[in-house]
Amino acid sequence: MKITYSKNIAWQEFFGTVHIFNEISHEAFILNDLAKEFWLLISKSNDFDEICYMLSKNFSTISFEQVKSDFNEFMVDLIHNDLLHTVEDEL
Amino acid sequence: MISVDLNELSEKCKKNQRLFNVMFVLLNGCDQNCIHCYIPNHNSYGLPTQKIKDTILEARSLGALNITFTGGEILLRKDLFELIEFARNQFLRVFLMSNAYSLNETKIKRLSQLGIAEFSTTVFSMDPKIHDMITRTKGSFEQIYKNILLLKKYDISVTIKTPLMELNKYAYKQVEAFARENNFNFMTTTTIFTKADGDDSPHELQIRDGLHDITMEIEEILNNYRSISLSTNKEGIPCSAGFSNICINYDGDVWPCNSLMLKVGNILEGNLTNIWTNSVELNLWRKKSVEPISACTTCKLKGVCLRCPGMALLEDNNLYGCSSSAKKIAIEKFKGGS
Ligand SMILES: C[S@@+](CC[C@H](N)C(=O)[O-])C[C@H]1O[C@@H](n2cnc3c(N)ncnc32)[C@H](O)[C@@H]1O
Ligand code: SF4
Ligand code: SF4
Repeated sequence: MKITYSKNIAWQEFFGTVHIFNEISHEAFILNDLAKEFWLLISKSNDFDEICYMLSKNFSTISFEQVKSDFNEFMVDLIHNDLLHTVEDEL
Repeated sequence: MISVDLNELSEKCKKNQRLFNVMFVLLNGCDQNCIHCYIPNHNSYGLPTQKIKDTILEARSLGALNITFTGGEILLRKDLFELIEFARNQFLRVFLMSNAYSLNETKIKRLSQLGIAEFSTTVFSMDPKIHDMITRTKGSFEQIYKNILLLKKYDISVTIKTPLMELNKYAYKQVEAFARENNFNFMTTTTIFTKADGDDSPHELQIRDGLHDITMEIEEILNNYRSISLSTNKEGIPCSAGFSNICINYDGDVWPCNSLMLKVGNILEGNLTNIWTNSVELNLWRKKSVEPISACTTCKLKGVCLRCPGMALLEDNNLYGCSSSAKKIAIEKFKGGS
């Protein structure tokens, strides 16, 4: 699945934490640790599988399959909060 | 939803000399001619679009989250929406300062689609005659009133500012009521400062009588609103200027803040990254400004005085000295025992 940051957000990394603001709903979110790494990798790739692969390589203790299943739900949540879009949505 | 304390975050940035806010004074050109305006001339339409875009990219890499566009009147820049869109594509929070005079529903709709964080504008009075007298622009109140309500209709956060002069000294009562009814942020001040070129004619417009009561009343009103946090503590970092905030003027000059017009570089001669990191003038300001201000150490007003270093430089020509405009307000607060 192809994913991209939603156009409705502002975000920045501060002191090891990603802060995300949904400028339409005025909600704010914070991502730490692996969730933060996942978020930052979206700037490098918009392919969900590839991001999971990169994460599993960076954190060799976690397998690709494990990362994928852990992040599937998380990604759905981000999409639900309009922080991420699937690329098909953008078209 | 997680509540993020943005004040705490910007304080942390300030302490760590990490960029948080970048402001662009896009131009000094304007479609109004306000009697008190500190801008001496309205004749420049600012830096080329590409230079601004390049600098926005740098600001993002330096860690900025907030970007503010001000002027002059930003709506006169033909590339305004292109710049806002560019900044939003870098996932920055975009704050606009404008007189709202030449807005219309199409533009407001576009601002809403672009997801700007805030539109900040100026209302001098709810009496159209007084507002128009200050802007010296007939029909300006009617126009901005309509536009402010449209901003609300499109769910855009609005801040209303009311600088108080003798002409509109009690206007804060009605403007604040209007802001409250509509859920807008509100800011007001009795400080009318010198023009940027040192011409002090705006001082003649300042409140002449009743300053004490007005100072005390607006102090109480402002407690209910988000406002700029100036500290009465005269030791340590004075404010965000140059610590987490930087301003780029329409001619490329770089200042720690738009109120602190201390040239620390020019982006036409260097770049923002280099200025932020290596500017001798900026680093000197960072070093010297944290030292106690000798005039303040023994001053009996220090507990109530909100000194702005920009005002001290502009009006008293002493960046590290007493600010006469802060002192004027502090005296009124001291009399009131606050
Ligand atoms: C320079 S304007 C730029 C944005 C826009 N043109 C506007 O008027 O809102 C920013 C704010 O500074 C205020 N201002 C201008 N000259 C001033 C002065 N001499 N003292 C205090 N505030 C001033 C304006 O009234 C406005 O609220
Ligand atoms: S609208 Fe703003 S920039 Fe224009 S003259 Fe008035 S205060 Fe100055
Ligand atoms: S009145 Fe002047 S000397 Fe006293 S605290 Fe304020 S700025 Fe400092």
